Amino acid sequence: MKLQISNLSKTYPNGTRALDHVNLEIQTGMFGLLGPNGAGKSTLMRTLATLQMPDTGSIQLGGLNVLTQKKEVRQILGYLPQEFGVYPKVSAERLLDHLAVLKGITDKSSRKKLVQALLEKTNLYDVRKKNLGGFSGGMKQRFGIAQALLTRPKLIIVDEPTAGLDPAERNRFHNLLSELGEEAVVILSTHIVDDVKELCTSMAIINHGKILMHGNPLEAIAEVEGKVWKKRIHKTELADYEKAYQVISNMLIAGQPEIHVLSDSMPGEGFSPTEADLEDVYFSYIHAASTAEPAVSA
Amino acid sequence: MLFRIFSFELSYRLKRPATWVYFGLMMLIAFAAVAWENLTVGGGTGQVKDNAPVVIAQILLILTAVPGFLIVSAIMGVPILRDYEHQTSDMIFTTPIRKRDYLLGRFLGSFTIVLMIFTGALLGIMIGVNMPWLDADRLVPFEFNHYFAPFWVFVIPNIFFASMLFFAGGALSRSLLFVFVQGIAMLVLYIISLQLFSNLDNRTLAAMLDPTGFNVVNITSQYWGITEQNTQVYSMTGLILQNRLLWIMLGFVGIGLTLWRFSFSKPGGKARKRKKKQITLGKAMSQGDISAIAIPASRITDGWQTQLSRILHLSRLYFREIVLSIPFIAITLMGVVLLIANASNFNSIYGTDTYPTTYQILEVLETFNLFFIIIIVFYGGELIWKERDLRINQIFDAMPLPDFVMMSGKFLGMVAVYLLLLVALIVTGVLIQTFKGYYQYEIGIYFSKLFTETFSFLIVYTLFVFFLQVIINQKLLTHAIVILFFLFADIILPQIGLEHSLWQFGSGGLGTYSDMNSFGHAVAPFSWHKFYWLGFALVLFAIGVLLSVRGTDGLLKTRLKLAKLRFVRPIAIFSILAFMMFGFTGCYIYYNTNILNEYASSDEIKETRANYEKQLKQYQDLPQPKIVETKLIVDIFPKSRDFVAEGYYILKNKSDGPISDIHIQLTSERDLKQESLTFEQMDSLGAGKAMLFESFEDFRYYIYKLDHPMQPGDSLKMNFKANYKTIGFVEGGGSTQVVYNGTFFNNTSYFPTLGYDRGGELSEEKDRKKHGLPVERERMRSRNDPLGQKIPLVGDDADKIRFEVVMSTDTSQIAIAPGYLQREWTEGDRHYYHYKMDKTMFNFYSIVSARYEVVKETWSTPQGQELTLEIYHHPGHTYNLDRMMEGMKHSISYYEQHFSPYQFRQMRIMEFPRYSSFAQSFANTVPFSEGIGFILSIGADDIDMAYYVTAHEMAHQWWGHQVTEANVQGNAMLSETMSQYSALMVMKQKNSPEMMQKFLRHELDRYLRGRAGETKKEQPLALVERQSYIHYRKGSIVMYALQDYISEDSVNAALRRYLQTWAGREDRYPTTADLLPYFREVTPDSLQYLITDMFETITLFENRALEPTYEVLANSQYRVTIPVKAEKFRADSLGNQTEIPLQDWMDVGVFAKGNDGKDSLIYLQKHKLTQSETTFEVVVGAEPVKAGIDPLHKLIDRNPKDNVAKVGVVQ
Repeated sequence: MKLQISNLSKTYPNGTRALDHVNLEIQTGMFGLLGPNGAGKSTLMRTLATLQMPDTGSIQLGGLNVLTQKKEVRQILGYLPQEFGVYPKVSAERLLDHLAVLKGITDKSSRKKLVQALLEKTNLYDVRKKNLGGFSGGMKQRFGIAQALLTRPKLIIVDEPTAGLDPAERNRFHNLLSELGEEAVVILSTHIVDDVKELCTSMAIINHGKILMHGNPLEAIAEVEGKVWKKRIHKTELADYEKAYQVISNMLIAGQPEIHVLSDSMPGEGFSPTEADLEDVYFSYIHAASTAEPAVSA
Repeated sequence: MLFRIFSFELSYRLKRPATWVYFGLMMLIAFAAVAWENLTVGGGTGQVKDNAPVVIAQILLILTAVPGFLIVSAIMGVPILRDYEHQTSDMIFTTPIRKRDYLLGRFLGSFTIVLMIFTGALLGIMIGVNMPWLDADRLVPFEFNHYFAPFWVFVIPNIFFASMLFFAGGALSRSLLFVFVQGIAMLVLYIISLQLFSNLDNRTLAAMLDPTGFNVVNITSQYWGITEQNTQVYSMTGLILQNRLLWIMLGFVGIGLTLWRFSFSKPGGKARKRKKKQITLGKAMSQGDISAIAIPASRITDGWQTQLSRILHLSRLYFREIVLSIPFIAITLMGVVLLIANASNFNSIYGTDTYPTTYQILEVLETFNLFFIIIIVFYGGELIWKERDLRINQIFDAMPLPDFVMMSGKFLGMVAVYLLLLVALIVTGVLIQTFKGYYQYEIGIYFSKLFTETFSFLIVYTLFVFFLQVIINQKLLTHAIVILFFLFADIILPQIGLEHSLWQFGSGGLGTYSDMNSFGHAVAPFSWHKFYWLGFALVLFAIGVLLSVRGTDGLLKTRLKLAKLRFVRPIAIFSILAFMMFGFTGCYIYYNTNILNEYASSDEIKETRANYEKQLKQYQDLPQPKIVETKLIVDIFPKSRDFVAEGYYILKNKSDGPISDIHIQLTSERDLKQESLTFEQMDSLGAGKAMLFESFEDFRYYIYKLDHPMQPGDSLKMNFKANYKTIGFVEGGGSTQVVYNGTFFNNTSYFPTLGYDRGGELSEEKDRKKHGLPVERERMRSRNDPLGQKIPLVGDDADKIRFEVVMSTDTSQIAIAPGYLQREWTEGDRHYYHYKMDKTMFNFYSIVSARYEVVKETWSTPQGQELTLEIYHHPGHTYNLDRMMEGMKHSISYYEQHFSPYQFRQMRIMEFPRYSSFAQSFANTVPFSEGIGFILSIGADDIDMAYYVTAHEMAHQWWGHQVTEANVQGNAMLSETMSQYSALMVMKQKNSPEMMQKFLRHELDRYLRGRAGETKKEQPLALVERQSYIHYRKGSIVMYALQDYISEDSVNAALRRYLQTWAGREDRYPTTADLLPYFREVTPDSLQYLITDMFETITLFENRALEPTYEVLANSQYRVTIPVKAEKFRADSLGNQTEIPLQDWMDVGVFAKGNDGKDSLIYLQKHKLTQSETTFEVVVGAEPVKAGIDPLHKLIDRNPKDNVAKVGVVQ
């Protein structure tokens, strides 16, 4: 199964351009959609999840037109929204059972088995009788995964799933997701580069509604390999360096900024080469996009 | 600090648009209430002007309640809550502000805003009354205090209390729901106090209990005359002051409680809860274990069974969500509390209750509809917004559901809640019946009303709310719109010409239930209307489904675009079917009401009546022949609600000149077709054939011209056949006179009458003005009008007539008319009765047919006359037959002894359905409503209404039938007042003085309230113009007092002489001017003033006891000193009072504790008062407890309670 996104655009009534001629082709497996907050990730995810109509463009999933054959798409869709609530006075088991019925699983005994398996899988079995109102963020998130897996979906969309999870939870979550990627198109949107690095075989970087990069994370890293230089500088120098070099990121290490600079050759004194990682790729694209326009006109 | 918090709150609120929306809303509604003719809010009627101070006060009170309290709760519930909701509480509470400053600052800031918003109402009214298009005749001159006084006396205390309540509730509970529940509790308290108010003894309590001030207003001005209502403002004194103080104090208690209990350190309600419920997991499974769990594949179905299963699952979820929510439980409990409070008295007449029959219980259960409305509005909105409010909408929206499934699930969830509540209502009803010792439960009737009328109302409004929530897509705004719709749609729609039931959203009701006729013919139109609105609601439902928000696009424009995609086959089919159902039933209703039957809007009807007067008034005094004989065959067909009446009148020219034109007026009831009307020559000298000369079809008025004019003394036979046919159903429910079981009508309803009918004219000044008719219209002919003196009570068609009728009806029913049964036989499936009266009688006869059981008794009067007494009653309605039978015997005995012999050999009472609540006296025949005697539950302490009504109607056989009065001003004093008097005398023989007192107290209350509501002018009793509060209520009081002053024997002697002189006369009928000399004749000179006071003028007293004291004398004697203040007033027709000098005899009374613990009179003597303040000294033989003037309230006094006072001891 293949997901083909063509020329997708969406502008909100307030003028925000959320999607700008997005073209993507996504194969079975884990696909990471990386971008800063407000880049258009959620708009794209919601559009893929049949919850929003684009202004133009088309989305094809296997033989299905996602924009018009909504019901068919929804039958093979597993969707975990970025932020969601629950019925506080309903137990996990009951709500999951309820959602299974909505999915179309009407046979009672198979539904029971399914719900049990999913609760075990998401490690919620012990608390299945508890009301969801008392669930912690991580438990709620796992419940979200459980409901997304109800029908062995062919298309799984998880929007910012690890935000707010502690490291252990996040780890468990990654394991679960990676299992799914074996037989479905799994699209994971995130602004955390490590999520993608750990999970995805394919990825795209999006900002201001535009796809900046689309490809394999490892290849992307290879592309910048040897071009990333780092230097620890003083706080007061940061502005000067940003003017002089292509600074793609800076982070504080023990209170002093360490900057990463993208350059084919050694950019200057005090810089040392560093092993490129996905983060550098990400920041280089984001940085390039934000400076591209004045650069082109110059 | 306080000031800074205050000013922060103030400026925060002033910046909020909601504040200005509320202000504007208040101003607009207040403006419309006075300036827009189509909207009447607490408005003046008749002589009370549209901007009278009482009206202004009413408008302000109503606006303070709705939407006022809603606004107060919205503003005052949140000032503290806001900090929790926005999670700024931690930030604020850690600053060094003092709790008191914080709370008071917030409170005062918000309260100032509330005050400002309510001045909007004041401004709106003040601007409204000055609009140039208002009719200056309907206004009193502008006076600032008329507006300011009620604002200060009612509005400010009300909103102050409500503000305190909601502020305290919101701050202490930290839950808006709690504020909401408080609001409903206040409403419940108000309704309970209203219920209490209906009982005379509880009025003061009711007034105090009511935080809104409505009751205290009612009790204060209940007896105000017209002029007082137009000029007087409510002042902060007496009961008003007490009520206001009570609630303001409770308000302070609320704020004190808040200051005391509120704590910065306590975490917010939500956080607290979460902590308690926090769930922790056991140890996590290893990764391997997790991977080992296989997710089984499940078959996904998508057929109609799947949809059904989904819908049922959803509805179960929603049902659970609603039923387990706290406000729902609170609303329901309060509703039940209210029902139980309301069940304390049933449809009480003079404090006497009816049995708690199932239909009476159903009427009580209707109070719960208010709570149903709250549930529809609130939970209808909640369910539509459920997923979005919980932020689980994206998960639900991405489910592979057809679009209609969610909404259907929500709808069925609501339906399940309704079913639960309806069953709970039935259980409550049955419990109420059981506790009252009534065990005939009639579960079928519960179901037949609750599961049809109530249920369809719930369904239709739920779908309506769903629709609006979807379209408007803003929860709170939609709530507001729906509430406004509930409040005003019924008022405004008819005013703008959308009067037909097809326009009235949710129209169609089952109407009154009667044991005799069940829901009768209301069932068919009811059902059609319900299907019509259901069709409409389903169309709305389909639109709602198409436009429902699914996904994240909420804009209506986008949704409209999407709707095209969503308009799939099943929805298309559903929409078409729903639309067809709506359209077809609508057409069918229209076909019935407007094509099969005639429909006229109220404007058209008024227009017709105006034209009737304009064109035909000229014939008002035209001499017409009189009916002297009536012979009819009336065949009643109860199953199809038809009858055919065929027969003739013999007309006789009793005038001095020839008559050539006969004017025939037919009934305006269009169900009646006049099949034929011909005239026949009676003798060779008399008149011959007649031809139709002029027709006024609009008024069903026809002028026939005789070939040869009737000479004085000539007779003419008028044959006619009238066919009353019920076809389909009519708009507005149709007549309840000809019904399946319990047909009752009289000749004036359907049979031809002669000449112009004054009763057809427009009577309201507003209408007359609009249609260009003279605004001044006398309600009755003057007492001295010689023409009027020749017209008997029931109209100018006849003096007395010979009467004979053959009636037929179903074999299951008995048909009854005045006269004696000559023969009774069955022919096929028809039961025939031939009645004939053996002497002449009024031209006034009843036609009755129903399935009856009969109680019959032969009885000899003390005078030795043998009578048959019969009661025709509905099977099972046997509770009070003995009382009625006794009532007949006692009253006939008394009247024969004191007035004259009874003129008939028989008396019959027959029950008719409770569509009307009266009894009416025809010759030897009294139809008696099911609702006012047959199902009364009369206890030892209750007034025996069955007995009283029977005695009153019996008395009409004398006052009305034996001596018939002229149809002029004052006429009802001669029939109704004298019947009241007669009934009182019969009751007095059987009942204790206390019981008589109780009855008279109700009469006084009704008289005083009646005159406060007078629409034209109050008349003295002797000139009464069909004003029931005068001829019944005041009549009772003054006649009871008269016999007390001049003795019962004297009054009876006067009446006897009057009757002997006037009985049986047909040349001229008596007026009050003819009766009063008989009263004067038996009244001693010293009391002649009574006749003037009671009958010829409007006289009121203001008597009260000042502080009476006593001292102990020797031999256990006590000397009581009773200082009193007495004032006597004459009132004009608008209630303007002038004090007049006293030369009056009044009772002075002293009470002591009786053996039974109650106060009993130990001294009662009449004393003459010649000055306003007098002190009496009397010696009594027991220790006095109370003393005063006119202690038994024989005189008309608007403040009877202060007539006696506690007696103090002189040391």
